[in-house]
Amino acid sequence: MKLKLLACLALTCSLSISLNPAAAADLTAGMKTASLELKSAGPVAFGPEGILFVADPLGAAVHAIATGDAGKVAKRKPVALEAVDRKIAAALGTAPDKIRISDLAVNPLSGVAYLSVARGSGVAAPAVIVSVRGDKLEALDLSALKSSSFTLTSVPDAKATTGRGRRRQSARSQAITDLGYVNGRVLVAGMSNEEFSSSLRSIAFPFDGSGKPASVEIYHGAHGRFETRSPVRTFVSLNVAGQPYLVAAYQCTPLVTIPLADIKPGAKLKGKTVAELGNRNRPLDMIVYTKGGKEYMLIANSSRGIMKVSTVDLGKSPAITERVSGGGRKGVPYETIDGWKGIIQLDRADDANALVMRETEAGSLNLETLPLP
Amino acid sequence: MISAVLLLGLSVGCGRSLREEPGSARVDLGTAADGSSYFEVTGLEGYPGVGKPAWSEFFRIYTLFERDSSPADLPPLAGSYVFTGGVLRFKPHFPLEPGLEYSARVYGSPRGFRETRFKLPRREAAPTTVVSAVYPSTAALPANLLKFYIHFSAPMSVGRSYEHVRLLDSGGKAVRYPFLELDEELWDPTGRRLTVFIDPGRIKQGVLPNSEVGPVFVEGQDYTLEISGDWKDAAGVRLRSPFSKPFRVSGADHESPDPSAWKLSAPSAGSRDPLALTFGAPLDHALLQRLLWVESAAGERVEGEVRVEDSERRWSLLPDKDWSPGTYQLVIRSTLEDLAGNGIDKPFEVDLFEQVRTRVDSKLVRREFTITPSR
Repeated sequence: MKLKLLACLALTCSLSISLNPAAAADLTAGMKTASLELKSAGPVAFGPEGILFVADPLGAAVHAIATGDAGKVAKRKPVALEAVDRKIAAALGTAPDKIRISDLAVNPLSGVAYLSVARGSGVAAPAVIVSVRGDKLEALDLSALKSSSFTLTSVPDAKATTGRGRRRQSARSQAITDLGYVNGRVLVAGMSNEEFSSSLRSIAFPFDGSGKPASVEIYHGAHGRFETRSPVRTFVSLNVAGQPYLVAAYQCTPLVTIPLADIKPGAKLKGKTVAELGNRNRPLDMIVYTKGGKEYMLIANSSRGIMKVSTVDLGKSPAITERVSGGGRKGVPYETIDGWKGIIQLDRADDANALVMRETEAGSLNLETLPLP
Repeated sequence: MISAVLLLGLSVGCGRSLREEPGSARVDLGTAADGSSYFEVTGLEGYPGVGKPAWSEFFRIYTLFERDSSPADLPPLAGSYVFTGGVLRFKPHFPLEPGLEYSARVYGSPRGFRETRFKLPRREAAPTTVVSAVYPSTAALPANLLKFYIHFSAPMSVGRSYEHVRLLDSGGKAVRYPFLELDEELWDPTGRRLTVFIDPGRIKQGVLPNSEVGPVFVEGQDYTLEISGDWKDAAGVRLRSPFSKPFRVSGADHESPDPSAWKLSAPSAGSRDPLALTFGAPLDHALLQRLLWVESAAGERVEGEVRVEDSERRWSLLPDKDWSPGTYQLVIRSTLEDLAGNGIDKPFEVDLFEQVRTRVDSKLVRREFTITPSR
C-alpha cells in the first residue's frame, strides 16, 4: 500500500533517508528463517531495510518479512503490466477468478512492488506474496526468508463457550483494514466481525514478544454531536504543523487527524474531522508525497476518483463539528485528478511516481507507473 | 484420467523451430505419496538443454485458462525442480486446478520446444451447501438494526459476497446501498459465517448518508433479505437453493439492555437442569455465545453448553456437572449488544456533549443468584 514512513523523513530525504546501519542491522537480528506461518495475507506495507509487513487476519498476526530486497536502486524502469491478475493466476496454476489480490506495497529502496494474494476461493485459501520486478512476477519462497511475527491478542473477553461433547470455537475474528510502519512501530487498524468497533493497535518493532500493543478506539464527531465507531479504512502518517499525526480515512469518508503521541495503550482517542469527502464513497488507499517543495496526499476513492490534498491545509483546517449538507463535501479543499480512473490501489514508486493498480472496464487489473500529479 | 496430448513444434512468439525440438524427451504427470502432482521429464540422454544452469530455461509449464489461450504473455507455473538419476521432476507450488489445461514444454532452444498438454477433468459436484441460519432470527426487526449474521453449512467463496446479498422492499425492489461494504469481508475463521453490517451512516442520526439518501429501513414496512443461489461455496459449487428472510420493521430502539430486568430461572442443586435467562427483547446472537457466563462464588467459570433460543430472547446454560448449592454470579461484559448495537453500558449512539468517556471501558456487570437444594 503506502510508504508509511513519517513524512518528516520524506521531506528531508535529500539530506538523509538512510537509517543508521547499525540500527538497521538490528531490525532483522531477531528474525528466524523458515518460521513463518502465513495463514492469510491482507494489507501490506514496507518498513526500512526491505522489511515487508504483512497483516494476517486469519492467523490474527502481523508478520515482518526480511525480503532481502534491501539494496538501493536509483534507476527504476516504469511498470506497465496488463492483466496482472491473469498473470498471477497463470503463475499459481489457477484461473483468474480463483485469486484475490488484497494489497500492493512498493519497496522504497528498490522500487520493486509486492502484492498480497490469496490463491483460492475460501477464507482458508493459501496466501502468497508476489513480487513484481519490471514485468517479472515471482512468488516469494517464504520458507527461505527471515521473518518474525506478532500475535494480535484480542481484547479481553469471555472465552468461547465450550459445548457438551463437541468443543465450540470462537467465531470472532478481526478484519485488518490497514497497517503501516511509523517510527519504529507497526500500526494496525482493524474491525471486529461481531461488535461494531474500530481499533488501532500500535506495536513496537522489532517484535520482541514483550511489547503490549496499545489498543485504542478512535471516535470522531461526524456531522454533528454523535460519535461513531466506524472502521478506519486507510491511513498515513505525516507532520501537521511540525507534529507527527496519523491521518485516517474512515469508511464513510471523513478524514480525521489524530496526534501520534496520543496512541497509547487503553487510550480512547477522539480524532479531529478535517474533511468530508462526500457520501456514497469509500476511501481505498492513500499516499503522501512531496512535489515542488510542497507536501500532498493522494486519496483513491471508490466513486469520487483520486483526490489531491495539500497537507499544509490539513493543519489549517478547523474541525468539522456541524452537519454537512448539500454535496456532502466540506473542510480541507481538494483537487480531483482527471485521468486517474479506476484506481483501486496505489503506493509511491519513487519521489516522482506512483505505482497504481487500475481496474479496467473489462474487469482486469493493470499495474502502471504514473507520474505524481 | 488425465488426458495428454502431444503437440510438436509449437513455438513461443514467431515461427516454428522443429529442428531444435528435443526428440526423445517425454513428459508425464505423476502423483506423489502425499497426493500432490508433479511433472516428470524422461528420455533426456544426449539432449542439449540438460546441464544448463537453470532448469527453468529447459522445462516450463504454462496454465491455459481457455481452450486455445496462448501462454505467450503469461508467466510459467511456479514450482521447484529436482534432477536425479537422469529424470527431471517439476513440483508445482500449488495443486493443479480441476478443469484447467496445462502445457508442459521441453525446450531445445529459446523458441523450439516439444509440448505435452495435460487436461485435468472438471470436478462436477452436486450443490450441497445451504444457508443454515440468518440471525436475528425474529421476523420483527428494529428500524435501526445494525447487522445480520448469515450462517452457511460449509465454507463459502469470499471476495464478492455483497453481490449475492440483497435487501428487497415490500414491492420486491432492491434497497440501494443498504450495507457497509467492506473490502475485508467479515467472515468467521471457518468461512461459514458472514457478518453484514447495515451502513451505519444510514442508521445513525445526523450522519450524512442518512440525511442525503435516507435510512435503510422505514418503520412499519416489510422487507426481505435475499441470498442468491448463484453464490458459490469454497469448492466452487453453487448453493443448493437461494434463501429469503422476510421481516417487518418496527420502531428504532435506542434503549440499552438492562440485565437487572432479565428473568432468571435458577435450577435446583444436584440437578443438571439449565440455568435460563429471558430477555425483554432479542440480543445479538454471536455476542450471547461469548459475553455472558456464570461464575461460582470462588470465581470459577461454570462450564457447559450454551443455548440461544426463542429468537435470541432466551439464553440457557446446561452445566457439564451437577449444580452445587451456593451463590453464583451471572457475568455480563458491557459490550453485549441488542439488535440495534445498544450495549449494556451505552446506546449505539451517544451524544458527545452529554457523555464523554476518556478510557476504553469494557466493564463487567454482575448479577448474583443462589442455587438451593430442591425441597
